[in-house]
Amino acid sequence: MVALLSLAALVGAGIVGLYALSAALRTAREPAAVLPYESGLLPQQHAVSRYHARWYAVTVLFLAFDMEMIFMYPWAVVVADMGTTAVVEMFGFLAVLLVGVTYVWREGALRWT
Amino acid sequence: MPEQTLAEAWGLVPAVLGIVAVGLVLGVVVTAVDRVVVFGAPGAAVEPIRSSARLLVEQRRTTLAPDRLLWRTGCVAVPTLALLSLAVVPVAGRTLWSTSADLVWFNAMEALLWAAVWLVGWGPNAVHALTGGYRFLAQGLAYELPLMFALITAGLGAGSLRTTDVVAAQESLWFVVTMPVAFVVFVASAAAFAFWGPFAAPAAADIAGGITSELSGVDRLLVEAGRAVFLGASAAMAAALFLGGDSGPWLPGPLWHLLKTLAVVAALVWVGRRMPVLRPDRTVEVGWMVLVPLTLLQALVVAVLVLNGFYA
Amino acid sequence: MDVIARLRTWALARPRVLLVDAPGVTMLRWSVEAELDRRGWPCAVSPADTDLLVVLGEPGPELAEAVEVLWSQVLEPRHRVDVQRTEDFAVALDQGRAALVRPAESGTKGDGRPSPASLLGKDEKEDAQDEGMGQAGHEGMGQAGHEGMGQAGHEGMDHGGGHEGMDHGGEVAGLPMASTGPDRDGLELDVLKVALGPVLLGWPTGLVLRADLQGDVLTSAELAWLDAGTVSTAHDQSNSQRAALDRLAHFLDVAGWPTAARDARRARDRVAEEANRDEAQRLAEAVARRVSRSRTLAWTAGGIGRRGSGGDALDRVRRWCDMASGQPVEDLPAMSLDGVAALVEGAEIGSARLIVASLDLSPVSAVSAPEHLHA
Repeated sequence: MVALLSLAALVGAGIVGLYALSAALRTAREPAAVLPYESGLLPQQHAVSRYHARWYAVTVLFLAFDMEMIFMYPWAVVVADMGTTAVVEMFGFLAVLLVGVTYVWREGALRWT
Repeated sequence: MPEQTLAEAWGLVPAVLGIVAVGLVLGVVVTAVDRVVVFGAPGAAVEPIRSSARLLVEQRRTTLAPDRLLWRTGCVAVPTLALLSLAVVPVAGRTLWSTSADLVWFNAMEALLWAAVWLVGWGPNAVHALTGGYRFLAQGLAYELPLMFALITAGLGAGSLRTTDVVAAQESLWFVVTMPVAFVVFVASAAAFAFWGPFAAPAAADIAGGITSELSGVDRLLVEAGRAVFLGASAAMAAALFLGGDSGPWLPGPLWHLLKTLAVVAALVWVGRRMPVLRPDRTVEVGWMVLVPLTLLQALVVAVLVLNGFYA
Repeated sequence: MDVIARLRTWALARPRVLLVDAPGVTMLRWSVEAELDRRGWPCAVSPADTDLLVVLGEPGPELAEAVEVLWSQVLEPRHRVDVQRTEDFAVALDQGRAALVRPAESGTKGDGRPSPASLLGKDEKEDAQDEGMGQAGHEGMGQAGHEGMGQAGHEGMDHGGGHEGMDHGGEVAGLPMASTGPDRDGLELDVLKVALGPVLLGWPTGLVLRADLQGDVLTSAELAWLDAGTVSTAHDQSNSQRAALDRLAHFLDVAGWPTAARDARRARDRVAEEANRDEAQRLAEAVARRVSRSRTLAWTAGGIGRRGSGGDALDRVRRWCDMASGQPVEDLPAMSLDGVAALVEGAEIGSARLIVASLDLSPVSAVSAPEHLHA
């Protein structure tokens, strides 16, 4: 843990150092305030809008699987000890989830344009 | 544990400095190989360093009403996460930090990249960057699970989530022999999380560089360096998890690991630059309907082999 | 200090170049691109990535204003190079690079960059009258160039420090927020007014696509050429094989395939050299074969932009591959901008870019439909 914290501290120090080095090297100290790039035209509206993420159905599907993954990490360690039951149960569960994925796919949620 | 961590073997400060140096070197190597392939001139190998210097002397920029805090947080987080993921990648046969859940740590760093990269896209309040950020999320939805399954498959074969244990378990046979699908999927998904090559849709030219389109100076350097370091770290991790890490005849172990890492990088760049960018809106379907079942099948095969005592 | 100067010189030895080509300078652009490739100077994809802004030919008034906006977005160290004639460009590029590393003569404030508020200054007034968005954007651009320099203070006083913001309801920092509208999924979400063009990598310079962006899907697209009334109709009568290779390179840029785009450009440049015609032909055929046989490209660009019986974007690209390798192909009917707008309607932004890149669009073909300007 100490090692990890030291690594994080060093990385942080390195990034601060980079900013300092850049400030020392560049001629224009102040960041330039510019308009966002809209291929040469002026922006008409602020871009940060309520973005329509059409793949929201996929995110829900992903969450279901993501929870399952949390169980799979400890499972991987104990398969050899637990034997066949562990494998049958895990892949039985995954098969159920895959049925769900197939349903979602058939409903067209994995394709949004 | 009989095994020492890198920090115990080398002392804390040299070990931490060593890991950062390894990460930076890997990042430079990845970028150099990539430049040579893209520009087709061997002299391009020095270009990554020149580009870094160029970005250091370049002015920074802010856009109109940016979300400054989140934007800069994202820029700083990308290289930080990439370097932190190296804590569990073996260097000279040892990892800086060794726990019973090394693979989960690697996975967690890569999962946090979702947030970091998205923030880089969100921050500047610009349409191309925003589109790129959301593209990254969609891409993550496609490749996160295959990547996790690939990691788990390696852990399953070794019966441990500790990287050094996984390397040790390949004493007799490299995992790539029994887990070729997991290996390929791991490398490809890592490239997707570094939004590089065919997976560069979040930073693609069709949206003017996407998440990088509003970055300049040292901010851009951090993001570009982060993605290169993460790609290099992933190649080193792939070499450790699937190609036996530092095992090999004649040469010293660390050299073997380096050679294998370089081979993974070269193969990745060579294959990756032979195709155009894959659009996330089409690849999500492939991720779920092809890669997820394939990696699960791979995990099942490995699980059956484990039950038969194949890896024991 | 000397060390820093040397470091800067070394760091900027291969500056990144943003090319803006005015209509009718195709041959000049090819020469410059060939020179950049020879020098290993990469092309920038956005002003944030740019050191040298290289303007080829003489842009019309509207494109010139777009160039001013772009120039205001390029970061120090920066330099602008205008190239008019083929003989000049190598010297101009050298001078541009030299100017980049020259230490700034004045303080950091004096870079003459107009503030965002002054660039947008006119927009606020237009919006107050609640005019159409396209109109506002266009007008704003038309005047930004004149107002741009150093009138920020004056504008600010006019507006009485924030009163404007309240009047407009939801206007922040001189720009309105996106408005809402129903989309095809029956949801009421934000609709963002965006413009693609006039200056984008792999995009026909001078073409402007204005559309609503819902998520990453474009709707209500309208296309127009900048300076359409004034553009010279003199068409570059160039080798059709070279032109096909050039279009192919543009498309491959957009498709995110830099190695193939590079090969297409090199083949294009070699074809012009009489010396090794065979080698050039071999290069052209190799890249054409590689592109037309790519399954990944077929999968990523297939099925988009289908145009009646004319095939989809992929078919059009394969037709160019045939042209690029020197085979005769039948002519496709020219496409009106309305036709293009219909093709990109409802397309994802990346698909829309690929569709536009797959079409043979030039200001000359637009002369038949000039009413569509300034939509």
